[in-house]
Amino acid sequence: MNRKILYGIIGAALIVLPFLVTNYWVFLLTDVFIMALFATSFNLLLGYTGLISFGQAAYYAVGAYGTTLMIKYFSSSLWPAIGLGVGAAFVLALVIGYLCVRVTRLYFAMLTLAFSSMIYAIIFKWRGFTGGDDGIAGVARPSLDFFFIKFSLANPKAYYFFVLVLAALSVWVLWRIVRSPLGYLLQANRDNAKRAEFIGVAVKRFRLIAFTIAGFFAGLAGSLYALLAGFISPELAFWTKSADPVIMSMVGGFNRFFGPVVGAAIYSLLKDFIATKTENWMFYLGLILLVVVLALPQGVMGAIQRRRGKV
Amino acid sequence: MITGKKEVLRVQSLKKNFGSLQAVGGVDLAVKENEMRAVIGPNGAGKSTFFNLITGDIRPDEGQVFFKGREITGWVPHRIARLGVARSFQVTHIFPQLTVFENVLVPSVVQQKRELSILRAARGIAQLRDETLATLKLLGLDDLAEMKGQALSHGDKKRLEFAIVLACKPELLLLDEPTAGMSAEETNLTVGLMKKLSADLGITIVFTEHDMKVVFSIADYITVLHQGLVIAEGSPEVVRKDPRVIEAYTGERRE
Repeated sequence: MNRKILYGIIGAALIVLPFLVTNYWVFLLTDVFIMALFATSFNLLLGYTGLISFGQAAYYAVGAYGTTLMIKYFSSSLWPAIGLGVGAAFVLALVIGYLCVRVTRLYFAMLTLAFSSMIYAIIFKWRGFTGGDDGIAGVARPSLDFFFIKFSLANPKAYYFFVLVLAALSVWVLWRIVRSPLGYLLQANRDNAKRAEFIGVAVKRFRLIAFTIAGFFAGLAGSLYALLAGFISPELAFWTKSADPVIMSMVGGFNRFFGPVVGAAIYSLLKDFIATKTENWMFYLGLILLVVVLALPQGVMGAIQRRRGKV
Repeated sequence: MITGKKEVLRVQSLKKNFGSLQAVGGVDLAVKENEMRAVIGPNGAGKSTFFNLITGDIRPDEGQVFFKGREITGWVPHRIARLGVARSFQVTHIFPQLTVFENVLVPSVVQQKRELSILRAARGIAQLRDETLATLKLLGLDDLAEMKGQALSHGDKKRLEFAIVLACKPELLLLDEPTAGMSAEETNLTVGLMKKLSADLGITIVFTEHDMKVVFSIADYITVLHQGLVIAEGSPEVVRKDPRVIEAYTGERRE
């Protein structure tokens, strides 16, 4: 099938869908978009730079807390709230990334995990500011102001479209990045860091750039999630949250740009479906994921493209 | 030796020990512009360590390295590479998951200082594409442009690495066993290419090589290393007759 037609159909379906389903599903789909952005930003590291981060939840959580705290304490406008969350995640990723890019592979994974555990501990312990393990609830979603026109985002459908546009735009930016000269330098680092270094690439600097970009978009995902859920807790920074984009990328296929998007949709919907059927949803989810990873080592997207003869 | 030309590479009393093993034990060397210099020696003579010291892969314990009169001792590899020193490795280093075209595109990105460019697709930048295609043509890799690096034969991988280092537009090229593992035909191609790079582009080449036919057919000047020391140096005719060289190679020479 022609790629443009496929995108057109998907786009049209996503526009029509919220009008056909219940608000519960609108909420769920909005969450899928957010997780798709989170996973795609993570995959800039795993799939394109060759770095395994086990600590992306830190930036997701800081995005969520930055946005929520901004609304709670300072301003109830939309963009400053999102801006603070994303900005905080960006700065944090820059600082932590600077300390992590000296090492690679498992050492890198462990360092990112260690730093995200510190962020979790800070959020958990700093009760006066973050609400500790009670989290922060009841923060109202600001409206979207276009000069003199106000769009309320309180309606789940309105917020669905807001997230759809922002997530799609962000994924498009990430797509442009991986195709750009910078993107090829990241892929060179993934394939053979030594070769890259010896043709004049300051590989650590480029790892840091990738890490900061990934942190930025993870922060945006977290910020959008906070506004969706209206409730945040330290769980957002816990290491299990860091596992989400890893699993999604594996399921969808981290060798394909849209793999994590597909993986996010499958994982989120599957989790929801199983969780409503049984209390032991983690067991069944684990079982299904095991089968997927073993049967489709290139992920779902890899398997689809292989069937179509595009290896 | 070519006289009246500028010195491209100078190495002064370079030393490197690995524990109690003396890998390079005080080497002096000077290579002039457009020279084709072979560094030979039996296995374990310190040739690869010597290359690694020059290109910043490892730091010397003592001594200095100068490139075009500028001291580069202890610099990190990417800074040295940017000055115009490119190298290949004994074990081929390419970008396996990228296509042949993309493999050569990457050094061109660096060369054209477009590392931070994100506004345009790399393949859409004419200057970058033309440069990459020109390098591929020069190496005869244009037919393989859309193949993944990992799918190439050993000889083609070596050729691709050659293309990668050439795309850096180096002034000094360090080749670590450029014909290792190649068929006779591929070896001839590589030797022809080295001659061409030297004659047409004026690139200074320093290479290590086990194949003595290759060494004596193209080197202007030969440095013989043995146990981390220079035991002989001179034109191919001089080195061939040097008794110390014959002694060092006796029983150890493999061809």
